[in-house]
Amino acid sequence: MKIPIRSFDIFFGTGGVGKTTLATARAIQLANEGQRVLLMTIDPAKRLKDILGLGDDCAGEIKTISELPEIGKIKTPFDALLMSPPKTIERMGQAAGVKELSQNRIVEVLARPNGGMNEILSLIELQSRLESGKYDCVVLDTPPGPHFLDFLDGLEKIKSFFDQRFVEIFTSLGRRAMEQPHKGLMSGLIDKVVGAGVNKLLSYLQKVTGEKFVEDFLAALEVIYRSRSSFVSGLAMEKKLCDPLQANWFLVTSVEQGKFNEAKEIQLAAAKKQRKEMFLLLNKALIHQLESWNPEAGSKAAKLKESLVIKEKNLRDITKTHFTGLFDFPEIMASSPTQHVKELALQWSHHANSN
Amino acid sequence: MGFTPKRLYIFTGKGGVGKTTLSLAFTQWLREQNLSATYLTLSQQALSDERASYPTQSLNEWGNIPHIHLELEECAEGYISKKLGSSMLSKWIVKTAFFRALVNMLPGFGYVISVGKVLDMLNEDPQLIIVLDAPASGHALAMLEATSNFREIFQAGLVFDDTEKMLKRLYDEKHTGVRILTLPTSLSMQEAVELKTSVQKLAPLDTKIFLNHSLESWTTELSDAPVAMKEKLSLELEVIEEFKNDLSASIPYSASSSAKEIYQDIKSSLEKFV
Repeated sequence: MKIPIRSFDIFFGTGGVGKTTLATARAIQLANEGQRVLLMTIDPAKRLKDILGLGDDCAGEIKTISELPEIGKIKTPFDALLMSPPKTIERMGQAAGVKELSQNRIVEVLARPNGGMNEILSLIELQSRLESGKYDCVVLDTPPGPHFLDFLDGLEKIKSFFDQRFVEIFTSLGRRAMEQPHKGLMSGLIDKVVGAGVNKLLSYLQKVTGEKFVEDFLAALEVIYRSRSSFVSGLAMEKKLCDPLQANWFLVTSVEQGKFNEAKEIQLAAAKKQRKEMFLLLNKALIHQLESWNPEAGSKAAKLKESLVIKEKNLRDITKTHFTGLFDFPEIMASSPTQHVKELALQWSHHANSN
Repeated sequence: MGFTPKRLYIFTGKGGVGKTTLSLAFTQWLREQNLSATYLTLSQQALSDERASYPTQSLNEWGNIPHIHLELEECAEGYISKKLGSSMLSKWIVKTAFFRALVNMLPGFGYVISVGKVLDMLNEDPQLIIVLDAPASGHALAMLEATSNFREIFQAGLVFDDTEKMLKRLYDEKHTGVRILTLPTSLSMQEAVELKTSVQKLAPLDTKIFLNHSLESWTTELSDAPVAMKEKLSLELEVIEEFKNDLSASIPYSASSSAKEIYQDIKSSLEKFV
């Protein structure tokens, strides 16, 4: 089976399975085959920055990679982007002409790297990068969520946030803001907000949190609402990312961290999105090496071998029912991360071009 | 008992490093020391989401370990109800679309609510020790950070006072221990060290790194193994050497499959989590 070239390659999987390394290797392979590639990664690991020669100051900025140590010249230089939520917020504010967005205290706190808006913001960032039309293929390393599917749920969250009731509040806030652009924008506003239950809710909120918070909170809602075009633009991604002709989905799991439930859960979630095609990338496969090992029956060594083999076999079995295809990436015996990426890129090329 | 246990142990690390197994094993071990320890998981998934990360299967295998699963909606309802003095109002508030959207959009808010509940439970029962099977690395940090983020957001009022109180206890090194689990690879270790640095930037918490699934104790058995396995072992030994100052202990790889056997295999290492 060949791996098709699509506009998006999305890498899912819990952290630590080699997702970022595999995604980087894939970007290099595609770039070496002449594709114009954007590699977007959210992984905070410093070593990846080292591989790509990126400094901390590069977060949130496009960096073009034309050559890498140990790997050499890249045929078509590719762009790499390390997500930086505050930078995304800043750009969104500029695009929507709402410069207060990045200055709002609440928005600023939430856009911190661990503030919790990573998934949503990376979808928005992705959409805005695509609009530039500069890329044939975007390789996307999804953020390490408590759950790997949180990334897709980001879309649902945007939708529910901007649902009908919210729009009512926002519209009323917006009108208010137009009428009194310079006065204490939000003072006394709570009483005037229409919409069943909303003003009651806000007044309870005020009782618990204090008036200052409610004011700040309304101000945050107001700037978010005025920038809603940027938020809602992220929604356009859902259709593209779920279309098998536009996006490859790769679930990455490593033999040491094999999680059977993960495979089952993603199947369920994919079904909800009407998505059937998905590849499993099995990283750090050892089984072929283990087969040549014949420890004495009943020994401790035999028990060790058996447990390692069973782990890997179980993982392979689930792919028969849940996945379109399985691709092996052997355990790379090298301590240098650049060497890892180099060998994994060769493996990608093998998978992509052999039948 | 030659040690003073902490009240709250937060087990974290990337998915698949063995958080659930080790936090359950540690809870069991604490109980064998006659301590009143409880295993606890949090559901931070959107309210009313059917996907729970609750490890039912593992819990069944471990048998009689007391466990608590906190649902965000219940914690939120309890908190608001206490503040407003009305459970009816509180029930209504957490069901509103507004509140759900708010919690969905701001996961940190949910963390504050659940962490608050955990601290309340510890406060109510002075004997209780909680072993928290926390979300993956980045998010454990988000969880620890959330309370101070929201303290900054609120600035004044009832919630602000509560977050102040929470921080005092949560960020006390005698109260809270963070146990970071990692695998024997350079990248995984590097990330654990980064997580530890970030946690300590936040507060001077007692933060320790443990290497799980270590093949080190299998060195003899691996002497006639295929080259690839031997190389894996020697890479691991290099990693252990490189990070020896950061590592608190290694937990040996267990070739067993049942919870009881795994517990016996790793039992002697569990004291190091204290």
